[in-house]
Amino acid sequence: MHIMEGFLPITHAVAWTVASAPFVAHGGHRLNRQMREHPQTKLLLGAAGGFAFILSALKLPSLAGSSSHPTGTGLGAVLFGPPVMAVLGTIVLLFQALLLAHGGLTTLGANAFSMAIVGPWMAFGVFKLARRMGAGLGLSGGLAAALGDLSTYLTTALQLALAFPDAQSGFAGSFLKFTGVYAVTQIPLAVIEGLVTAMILNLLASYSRAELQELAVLNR
Amino acid sequence: MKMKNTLLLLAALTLLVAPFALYGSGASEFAGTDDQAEATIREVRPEYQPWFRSLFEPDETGERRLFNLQAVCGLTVLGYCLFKLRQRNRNGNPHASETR
Repeated sequence: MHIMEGFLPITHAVAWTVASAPFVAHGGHRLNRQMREHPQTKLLLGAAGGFAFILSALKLPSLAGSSSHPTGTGLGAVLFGPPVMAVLGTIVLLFQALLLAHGGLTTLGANAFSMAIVGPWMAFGVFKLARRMGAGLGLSGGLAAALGDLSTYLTTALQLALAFPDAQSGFAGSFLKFTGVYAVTQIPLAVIEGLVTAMILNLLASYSRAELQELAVLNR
Repeated sequence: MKMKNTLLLLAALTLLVAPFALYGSGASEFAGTDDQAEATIREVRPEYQPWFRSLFEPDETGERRLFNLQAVCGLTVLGYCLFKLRQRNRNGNPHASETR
């Protein structure tokens, strides 16, 4: 999902940066408040950040014959809400843009929008819905992470199709092309991300029950 | 919880090794989707020139090492936080083992 440095036309790069900035700023505000009002959840925040760092660093081969990255943002979105992940996800992306030449500064806004905003919001929505329908913590979190991961890659395909519509088939044709690049590879990886997220949530439910209750992820 | 997590781990590992079982060791050299997307951009719009370059670009070995470094940093933080959480919940909350 990393759109490479310089690979979005200037107008698009600026527009996505402008679109992402308020989410990240709001997230920073929420993160501060979270730390002030619930200091006992700091360790959990560290765990969610560490998890996102690990998963987004993995370049995994997929059954489809190409490789890609999981996103790792679903766990934190489920625990702390999407605004907090807007900050953590952007930090991960900044790190990769500066040190790994993966993604870039000019495409940071667009990449943050897909991985740190759309993905976490999707994960959060799926989690709430699954819980309301009576699914357990692990299943809900797993579904949330897998669908959050996929929605991130669909967003990237959309961003690229907007920037590079096909000469004949236009936006729709281009969107299909970019979706074709990502979707097949990403589906098995999204499932892996879901399974691992479910595992961590199960662990947390026994290691960190008090903090999950504090965050209202589990009932008291 | 242990039983459930063992099954989840097995499922995840199966999906992880399946590409190697299907394609052999070549699976670790698969082209990344980020590069494929770049190729698709060049195909859709051959005249497009990227207008900004990465300030710092590690070579392939360096890149792999830095990615590993990122994963190790994450793993260290995650491990430390899980360990601390477990300790704290053990001391403060003796009934902290049920799921759901």
